[in-house]
This record gives sequence, structure tokens and C-alpha cells, in this order.
Amino acid sequence: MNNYKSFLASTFDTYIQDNPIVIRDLRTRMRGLGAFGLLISYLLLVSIVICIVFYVITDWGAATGITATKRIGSAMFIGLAWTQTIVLMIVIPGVISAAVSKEYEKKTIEMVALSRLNSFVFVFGKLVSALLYCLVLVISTLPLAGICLMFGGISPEEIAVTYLLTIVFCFMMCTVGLYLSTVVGKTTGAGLLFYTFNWFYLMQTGFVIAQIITRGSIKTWSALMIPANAAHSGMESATVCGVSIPLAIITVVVQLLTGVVLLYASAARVRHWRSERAEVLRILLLISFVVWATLGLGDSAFRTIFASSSGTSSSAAPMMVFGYLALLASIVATGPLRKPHGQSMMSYLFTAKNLLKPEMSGALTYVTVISLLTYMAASAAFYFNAGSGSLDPTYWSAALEQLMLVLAAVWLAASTGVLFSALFRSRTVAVIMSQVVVTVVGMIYYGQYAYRFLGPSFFNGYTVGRTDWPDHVGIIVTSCLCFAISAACLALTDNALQKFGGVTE
Amino acid sequence: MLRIENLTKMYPSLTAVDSLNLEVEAGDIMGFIGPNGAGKTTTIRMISTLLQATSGRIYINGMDITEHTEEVRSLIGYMPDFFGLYEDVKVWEYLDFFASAYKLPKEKRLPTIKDVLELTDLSAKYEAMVSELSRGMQQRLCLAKTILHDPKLLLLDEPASGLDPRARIEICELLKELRRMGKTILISSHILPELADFCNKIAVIEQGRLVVSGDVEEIMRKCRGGLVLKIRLAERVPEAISLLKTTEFVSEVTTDEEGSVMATYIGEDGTQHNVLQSLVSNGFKVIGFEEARVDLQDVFMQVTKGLVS
Repeated sequence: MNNYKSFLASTFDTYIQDNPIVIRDLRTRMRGLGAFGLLISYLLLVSIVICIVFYVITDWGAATGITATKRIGSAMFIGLAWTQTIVLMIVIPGVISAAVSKEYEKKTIEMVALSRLNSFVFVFGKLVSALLYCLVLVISTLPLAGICLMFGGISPEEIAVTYLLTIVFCFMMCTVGLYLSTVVGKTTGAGLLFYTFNWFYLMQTGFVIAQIITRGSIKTWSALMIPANAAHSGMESATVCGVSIPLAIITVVVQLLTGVVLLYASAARVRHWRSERAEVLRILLLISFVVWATLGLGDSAFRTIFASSSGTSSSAAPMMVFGYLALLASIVATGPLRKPHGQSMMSYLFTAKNLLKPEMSGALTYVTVISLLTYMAASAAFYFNAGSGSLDPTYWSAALEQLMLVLAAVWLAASTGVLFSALFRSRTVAVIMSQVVVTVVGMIYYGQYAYRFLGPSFFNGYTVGRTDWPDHVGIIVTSCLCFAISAACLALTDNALQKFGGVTE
Repeated sequence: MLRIENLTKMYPSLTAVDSLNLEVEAGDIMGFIGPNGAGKTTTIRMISTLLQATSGRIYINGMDITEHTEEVRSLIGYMPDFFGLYEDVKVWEYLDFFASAYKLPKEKRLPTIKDVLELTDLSAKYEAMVSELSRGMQQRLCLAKTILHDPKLLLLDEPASGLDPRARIEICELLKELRRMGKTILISSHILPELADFCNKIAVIEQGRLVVSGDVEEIMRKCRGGLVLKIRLAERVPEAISLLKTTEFVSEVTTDEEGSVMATYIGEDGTQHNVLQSLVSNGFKVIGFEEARVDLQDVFMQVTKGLVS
């Protein structure tokens, strides 16, 4: 017990209490009037929105003669939650985007790297100082939430869930900003990218909400990725693998996992430190993909949203995992090719020895393993969720075809990443080029889907003839095409490496 | 203390450092000199573990820096040529940050900070904001940070660059103090006369290759072809020159701008008194007889071709 306590105390001391990054960042952040100015402006804005909601509802009540006290409390809290969420999405990039990039720009990172701090303590310190400031902002609005509670229409549990989701959201957003700041290296670039990311993040949620509106009472955890949504549906549950789980718990797990992965990714990518945490990162990525596939794709709401018109419930799986796995594959399978003399390129890339090492050796084995496990988790979740009785008879053959498609897509992304690693000096260029290839192939594949679903009348202006391939022919043809391109890429890699030298660092 | 074996750093378009071999003994103060773009900063950054070498090995205290990076980092103090400071903190907070980063015990931090501030003559600026310090003071603060964890090897890249003459002298005095403290120092600088004051060894690098390295006086002697004697005479200088030209072991005789006679002596070290004896016995009034001061600038100009890689 004493050992346990001393371990906790020393961990707390190393990572928070005596973490020089936390102390320095908090000293500078809270020095001067800026931090307090922002806090006061933030509270004023939230208060003004609550007042506006109050007057709009009471005016409406007076005009219609309906006493709407309960509606007032609920509407005020929804107003508070949305204002808080949107302001946080604006404030967080400002708080975290410069965290690491400013150290690069001012060249202070070199001196810190030469000290005895490790990269994880460094990025964790940056995260804690930014997160603590966000927490001050979030907690400062609690008295306003109390006022909403007094009007009724909202329960203390709903407020607690909304605040919990807001805090977890801040954690995840701070890790996104931290990662961008670490990878981009320029404060302006990292900030712009973060704001762009936030825009798409809001849009994605908008898409889910649109689905909810058009398809009826579908409730999904991904709507809670925007914590403001918890103000009206934070207490809902979803059936995952036949078990009812509160949406808030799924959201918290997904966001925490994403945040931890990004935190480790930042620690592994920060300059001037050896990337000693890359192995932990690979394990975390694998776990998070499997958990995400089980919880996310197992969610009954997603099954309904993404199920194809043919009724094959498994079709949602490749739709969702395709993009993320291909993105991961093209990142993992790009880097310096340090093949030992005498070893063939295929055995170098497919060796199982260095499965978790942050090297190109064994990269294709890693992406294959992660793809198989993720797809299996997603399919299992669908299977248990649908119940064997309601499964389409073609489920198993369709699932196998889709697995083939997922592997084909992932290998295409990985093998083009390998080839571009041999062709280009810069890893970033190799990743971008690989992504372009995957996007083009993906567009061709989903283009033909869109063409068939939307019908020839939509394309009347074009001279494209309609094809009537059934689903499985399209999948097999596309998969074979991807496998062929992959094989060609890998066959060309050795020569390309000798001629162009490949990615250096 | 420091051993470099066949160190090479290649970039796509150039070879910054080419098969460099160098050794620095414990307690040595080695001046690392070379023209701009010669590869000095690249070499120092590789020694400091911030830059990875393309090939070759670096050993610090017998440890390979690629295998024992963490241990090596605690042994070295690196002061870059262009360094950044956290300007929005106070001087003591800045040093406290690094004291904590170097994991100095909490109870030792404040006394250590006070000690290094005293050594760098910044005690009066304890509560000042870093942004308010002059360039020279910031340079000294950076040096204070560099020695905070009591490193055995100091890597100083142009520590006096961009400073006014007074600040430069102050930095030089500080470096002399560090030499007295027994630190091993590898210092690159353009201000060669000042390096000569406290370096016992030099290494000259050009186009990424080591041109010459070793004991300062030894190299001087090699460059000049012997020991240079500076002789001041009260009168009859031309006659003295004629005599010296015929004296045994004197290879070259010239005069400097002050009128002193400069004689290159190629005999054994410790036998140069024979020259003085010869002059005195021939009735010359010798009012000064000394070994000429080491002039690194001459060595530098002689051993480098002025090429820039």
C-alpha cells in the first residue's frame, strides 16, 4: 500500500507538481491581464446568450399565453452549452497551437531537449497547462448552469454529464492542437490547420444531426462528440453488441482514447528527442482502432445510418474503416527504408520481428494486423447487434468481400507509401502523395456507386454509359485493381530506392 | 573526455563534415576555428546529440553518444550560437525552470541558482525580466543556464558573437574562470586573439575537414617553422640582423612594425639563450628578449585556404 502511495506521489510530482513545463507555462499564462480579460469576456458572452434566451422564451410565453418555466431552464442551459462549446472551439486553438511550435520557432526546444526531461513529460506539461486554463473557463460557468437549474427543465445529472463531456472534449481538442503544433512546427500553420479541423469537426456533427432529423429518433454517441448536444440528449443509451450502454460513456471512452493516442503521437514526434515511445503508440493505436470499431460501429444508430439500401448490415463497416485505416497505413508505411544488405524488400516490409518498432521494417505486417483486427471487431459488433435472425442471407459472403476490399485499400495505401518513401526525400511529401492515390482510387470506387444509386438521369449531361455491375463484381474488380497496383509499387521500390535515395529522416 | 572518430555529416547537396577525427582530454580548452560554413556548428551540434551523424562515432567520457544519449546529455553543457530565451519570465524563474528540468534536488536549486548568478555577475538581476536584459547579459544568462547542472564538458558555439567589446571581455573573463574550475571546454569563435588567451589546444577545420589540431604552441612552431624570438635592441639593429642570420639554428630574421627583430629559432627548446649570449658577447645592447606571443590569426591564415564549403 505504501509502495502504491509513493508511486502515485512520485508520478504526480514528476508529471504535474514538479513539471517545469507546467510551472513555467502557468506562470506566463496567468501573468498580466490577458488571461483574466479572456475569462471575463467569456463569462460575459455566456451570460448575454443566457439572458437573450431568457427574454426570447418569456416574450414567446407572454405572446402565446403559455407558461413555459420548464422550457426556460432547458433552453437557457442549451444556449449556455452551445456558446461554451463554440467559444472553446475558438479559444483552444489559441491556447495550444503555439505550445510546441513556439519552442521550435524560438529555438528553446533544443535546450529543453538536452535537459533530463523526457519528451512525454514535456508534451504532457504543455497539455496540462493548456487544459487547466480551459478548466478554469469551463468551471467558471457552473454558477450560470446553477441559475438554469433553478428554472427547472434540466436535471443535475444532465448538467453533470454535459460538463463531464465538455471537459473530456477539451482534453481531446487540446491533444489535437498539441499534435498539430508538434508536427506542423509553425504556430500560424498549426493554428490555421486547427481551425480548419474544427470546422470539419462541426460539419461532421452537423451531418449526423441531419441524419437524426431526417431519419427520426436516431440517437448516436457521435452527436455527443460536440458536448453541447449533451444538453438535450446526454442521458440516452445505445445498444452495442446487444448491451445497452449510455452514449456519454461511449463518447468519453472514444475521446479519451483519441486524446491519449494523440498525446503519445506528439511525444513520439517532438523534435530533438529520440522517439522512444513509438512502440507504446503503435499498441495504443491498435487498441483504439479495435475499441472504436466495436463501440462506434456497434452502435445501433450507426448501423441504421450507414446500412446500404440493399439491406446488408455489414456494408457500414468498410465505409467507416476504409478511410481511417488507409490514412493510418499511408503514415505507418512511409519513412526511411533501411533495408539490410542481402534482404529482399518483401521480407523487410513483411517481417513479424519488428511489428511494434517505429521503423519501416515490418510496416506492412503492422497495417495488415491492425486492419484485420479492426474489421473483425466491427463485423462482430454488427453481427451481435443485428442478431442472427435478422441477418441478410448474404451477410457472410458480403463480409468476406468487404474484408478483401479493406485489405486491398490498406495495402494500396501502404505500398504507395513505401514506393513514395523510395522516390522522395521528404516523408511529408511521401505521405501526401500516397494519400492522393488512395483518394483518387476511393473516388473512382465510390463514384461508380454514386452513379448507380443516383441513376443515369443525374449524369445526363455527361457521355458516361451506365454499368449494371452487381455489388460484388465491383468490389472484386476494385480489390484486384488495388492488389495489382500494390504489387507493382512494391516491385518498383528497390530500383527507385537505389536511384533516388528515398526518405532520409 | 571527447573522442571523435571519422565523423561525417552529409546533406543532399553538400558534405558538411567529412571524416573528422578529434580528441579532447579532460581539462583541455580547445579552440575550434574555421571560416564560415566550415562545419564547426554542425560538428558541435552532433557532439551535443542534437544532430544525427551520417556516419562515424562520438565518445564522451568513454560512452558512445548514440547508445548512451541520456547519460551523455547530463555530462554536457551546450551553448548554441543562436539561442532562444524564455523572455516572459524572471531571471531566477528561468534558471529555476532549467534546474528543475535537470532534476536538481529541490533544496539545492536556489543555492545553485545564486551561485551561477554570482559567477556570471548577474546577481543584481535576480528579479529582472529576461526580456529586459541587454544582449551581453542574456549571453551570460545562457552561460549560467549551461553550467547550472555542473557539466563536465562545455560546448560553446561562438559565445561572444554579436557582443560589444566590453561584453566580450566579460565573457572571456568568465571563460577563464571556468577554465580555473577545471571544466573541459570546446569553444568555437571568430575572435582569434581572445581564444589564444585561454586555449591550450586548437583544431582548425575547413570544408568539413580537419586541417590541423593539437597544442597551440606546437602548431605555432610548426607554422612558423620554429620558435619565434622577439628581440628589442637599443641601437645597431641592421648589424644585429646580419649577425643573427649567421647564428646557428636561426633560420629567418625579420623586423616587426615596432622595429623589434623577429628571429625564428629552429634549435631545441631551452637552448635559445645561445642567441642572447651571442648578441651580448658581440656588444649589442639587448633591452628585450622574449618568445613572440602566440598569434592564432597568423596560424589560421596560414593553415586555411580561405575556402568556404
